[in-house]
Amino acid sequence: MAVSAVRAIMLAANDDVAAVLDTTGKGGVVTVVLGSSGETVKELTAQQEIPFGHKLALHDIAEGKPVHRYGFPIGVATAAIRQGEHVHSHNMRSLLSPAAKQDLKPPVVRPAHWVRAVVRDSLAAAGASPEAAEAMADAVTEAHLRGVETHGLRRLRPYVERIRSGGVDGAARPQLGANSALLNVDGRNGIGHHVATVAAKAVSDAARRFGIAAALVRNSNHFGFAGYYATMIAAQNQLAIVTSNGQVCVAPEGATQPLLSNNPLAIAAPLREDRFLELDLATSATSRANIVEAAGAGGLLPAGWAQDAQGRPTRDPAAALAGSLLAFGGGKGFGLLVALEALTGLLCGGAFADQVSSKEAAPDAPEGTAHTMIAIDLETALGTDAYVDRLEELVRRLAALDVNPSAEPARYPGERRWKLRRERLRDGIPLADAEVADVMSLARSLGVAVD
Amino acid sequence: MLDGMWTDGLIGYQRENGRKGIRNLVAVLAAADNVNPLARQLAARNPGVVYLPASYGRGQMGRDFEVSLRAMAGLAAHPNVAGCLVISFEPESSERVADLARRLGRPVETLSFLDAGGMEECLDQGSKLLRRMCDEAARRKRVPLAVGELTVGLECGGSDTTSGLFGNPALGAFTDWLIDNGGTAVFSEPVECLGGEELLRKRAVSPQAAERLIATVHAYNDLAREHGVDLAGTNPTPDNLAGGLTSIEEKSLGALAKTGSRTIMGVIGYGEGAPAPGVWMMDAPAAAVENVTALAAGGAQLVCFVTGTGNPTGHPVSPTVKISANPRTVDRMRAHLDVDLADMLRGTMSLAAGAQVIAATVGEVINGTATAAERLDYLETNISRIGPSV
Repeated sequence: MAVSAVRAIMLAANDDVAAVLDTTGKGGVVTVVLGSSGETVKELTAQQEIPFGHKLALHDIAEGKPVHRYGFPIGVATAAIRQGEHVHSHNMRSLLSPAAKQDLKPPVVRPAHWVRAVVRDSLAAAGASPEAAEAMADAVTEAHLRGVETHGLRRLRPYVERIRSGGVDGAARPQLGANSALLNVDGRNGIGHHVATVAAKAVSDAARRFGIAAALVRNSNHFGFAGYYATMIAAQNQLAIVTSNGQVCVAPEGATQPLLSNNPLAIAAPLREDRFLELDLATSATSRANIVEAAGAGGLLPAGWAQDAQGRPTRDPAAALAGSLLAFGGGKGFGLLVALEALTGLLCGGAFADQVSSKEAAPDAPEGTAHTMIAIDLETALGTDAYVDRLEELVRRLAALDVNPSAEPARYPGERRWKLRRERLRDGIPLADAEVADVMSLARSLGVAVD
Repeated sequence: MLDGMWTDGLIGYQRENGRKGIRNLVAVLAAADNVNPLARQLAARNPGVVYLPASYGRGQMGRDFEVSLRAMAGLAAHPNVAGCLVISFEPESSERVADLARRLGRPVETLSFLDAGGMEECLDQGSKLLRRMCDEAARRKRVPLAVGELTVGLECGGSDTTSGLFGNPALGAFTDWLIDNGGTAVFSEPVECLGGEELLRKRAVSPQAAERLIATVHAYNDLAREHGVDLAGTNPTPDNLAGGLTSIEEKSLGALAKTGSRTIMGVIGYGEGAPAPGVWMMDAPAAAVENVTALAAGGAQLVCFVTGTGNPTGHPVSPTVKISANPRTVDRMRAHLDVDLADMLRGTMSLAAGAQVIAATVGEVINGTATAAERLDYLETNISRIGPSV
């Protein structure tokens, strides 16, 4: 065999890779030539077969580091790459590619009671009352069961830290006002999930008595996902409307700073066989969590999600984090958001708009979050069976609609969540490997035994 | 690396608006598809006259109509065109195009089916006008042409591994030299810049220009997404992956290599002329015929077109120089190529030598040598649609 070296072309002086001009085998000698000048830059040995036109690493590249070609980043190394190795889709990926998620480790599956126990025990160890710890544990578990991971285990560490720093009173007992159809609830800066659970039960009891009831909650904290409380009320054969304000993040189009949170709106009603109509939407086009995720992955945002600190539309995640989120559906969505603030922050008498404190900016200050819950008793209204029959019929007719061949059958709000819940109760909950590791290290640091 | 090129001098044709052409064409341009038969027969009856058909031209609205009119006027007023007859069914349509061409500083003639009173009359009157234009064109004096008076369109199509490694970098080296000597280069296909944002940001003349460049690129991505196509998800294609491309960034940077390394001045609209020398990005889609038409309509006297697997397209108004570094393509499609860079792959031709071959060929084409596409009459024009008809 001839020992003549294979040439590889390096296109810019700071490149990390060069393309071989002939297929080279493992151990083959490669002469790297700078394309612009033709001068030989170095000689190295191919560590594996590299086909014609493919790239080889000019030096070691650490996992997570950008890979340069033409003098600019063409992606990021997804594994440690050694000098002379083949660089391609097995160890490098685009920063724009949605394939990024495939590089993560496979999920770990845990039963629902594992999630509930780790949350409950960690909160209790951090100083929460048994009732508050149970309430948040249930809400977080339901988030995972229904596929609402953004309100799952990742919320535990911030809550534990806020309890420890005095930002949240884990032992607070929410105070209920007079026993009427209109319940004023003072959360006393307790854990939001606990305050909201107490309020949901109380408003449901009152609606059974009066036919309709509303709970106006102030001095609470972030309560997770609104659909949880709405379905909790709906399970009592009631129709529920739940909304909340929160940390400021949404601006109207063109404004240079946000004024409102992405107040969620949940509406729930019972169906048969452990199913619920569960509408649950935040009023921003996307959550802040999705932008943080995009910033980490290095990708671009879809248009219409966010604007920068100058009030201009942006698709750059970093500029979006420094700026504000946009409401979904343009002016209509923003209008709904303003109206929801009128129904919560303003009506409940607590903090409103940007007065709600930021967990990040002031971890040791009470948030002052407000929630509003309205319950309508179905037995009093139309008769529970009559109403549920009608709702079942609507759901049936939706599913029976003819759709074009490439479309999915129409779904009602909550259908996916409750189907997923049945599957996850049976098969367990898939959790990100890193999330499980983080929660376990948090629990152990609190002296909680977990496995 | 190209010092000493073109020292024998370039020659061109002086036009009324101060620009210079490298061809001396007489053209008949249809302002709408309903007079294509007339334009075709006028061209057939008058040998040497270039036929510029319309694909649409009726029922168009808004920005789509504006783009079509601007591109038609750009072709009618092109420096390579000595005289142009714009024809239409009703007089208003050709007048609209003529008016825009006159604003670009070029007189054009118009003729309408309704005014003339039918086909025979149009053929007679049109032929008379075209013959007069041909006579006038033949009397035009040739004048020296400076590098700074050139606008070159940059395009790549049918790209493969050799395009990103040799063809585009060699064209990029030529582009750098063109710009350093006061010339103008226009590239387009913003969709093929997705992932090259950092390069655009770094090379843009100002932060505002960078923002405009990147927004133009992203608009194509949004358009694709609206139609259910995820460009970052579908690129590189299976062919690209097999060829060694791993990411869309890499593919885009390979395409951008043809633009060289000099400052990018900004974005110009479809078929719009560059307002100043330097490198410009034109907002035009990537398909070769539409793309070359856009570059021609913007006044590029010629187009340099790098191809890997081979692409025969040339524009009837802007001579299109075909460049390939793929030995197999050079072997199979030599007749369609003007510049053979296959020795770059073999290692016997440097980047500088490749750029020199491009420059030498471009110089000859400027001075009259027919391109492969001109010789084979593999010429086509088609203006992009960016909206539906009503």
